[in-house]
Amino acid sequence: MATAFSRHRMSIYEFICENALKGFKFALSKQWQGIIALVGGAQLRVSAHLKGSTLLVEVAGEFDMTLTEEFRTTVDSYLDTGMAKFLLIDLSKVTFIDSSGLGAILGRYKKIQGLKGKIVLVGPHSQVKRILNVSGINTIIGIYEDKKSALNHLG
Amino acid sequence: MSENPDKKIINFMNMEFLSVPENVALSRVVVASFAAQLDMTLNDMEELKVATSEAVSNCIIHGYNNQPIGKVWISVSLYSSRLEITIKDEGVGIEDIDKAMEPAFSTDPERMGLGFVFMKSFMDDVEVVSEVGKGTSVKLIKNLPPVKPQAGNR
Repeated sequence: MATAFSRHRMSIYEFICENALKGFKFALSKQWQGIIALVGGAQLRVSAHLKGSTLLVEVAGEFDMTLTEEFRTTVDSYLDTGMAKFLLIDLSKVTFIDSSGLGAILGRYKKIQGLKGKIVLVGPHSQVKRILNVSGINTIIGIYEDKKSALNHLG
Repeated sequence: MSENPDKKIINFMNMEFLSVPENVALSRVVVASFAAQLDMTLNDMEELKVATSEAVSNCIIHGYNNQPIGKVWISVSLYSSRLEITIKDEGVGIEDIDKAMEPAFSTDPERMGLGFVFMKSFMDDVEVVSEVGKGTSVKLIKNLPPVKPQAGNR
């Protein structure tokens, strides 16, 4: 009984700590939004929706190794079940990319080749686009300014 | 002046953290913040962030095999003519450094094998020291344009 009670107390304590932390984050959010986002990382960063056999994926934030697993499992859940074989990756909300992010995109490219599908990238801002170009990924995957022209390419 | 002016340290900082993915972002932001005191372009800053990200990702993914079991150390030193960033782990080490630095060499099919390629193309020099079973140390060097002497210094 005493153990159960102390466990209960512990969870309330944890609850208070957690919420105090949330409040603290909120108070700081305006000034330190970027840094808190890095530390907290709570927001949804990979979202996907299906349009016919085309999967539209939006990635937001910093596309490094913290994001690759979520990206891979989200996209592959559609590719592996045959629900999609065309992939549009919207990078307009990506603020940073490194070789981990590029590797995750390349992995999907390989998979889609096996499915005889197509993959396109949309809307990377200039810094991200530079990294895409340095990596050479732009020579195998089309990069488009807007969704409309990208979707046209997917046909 | 007997001292080599190039070796004169202007500023430095050290940090130490656990090998977890979240710290990759932390490290590149800290390095970029340190470099913000220099007159760098946005592109230079981005390149510095990518190079740091690659080196720290390597420590976590390869050095510590994706496990939160080890420490990563970063030290950044600013000299009058260059910026040096040293990223060190005590992980598994690299057996064949030349091979690891080749483009598209990766032990994992999901990865691009571009880590060292990015480091080399974005920095002026990359020095790697590694011993199997002991760890790896990567030094990223960025040469800085000569600074005009400030008014009042002379």
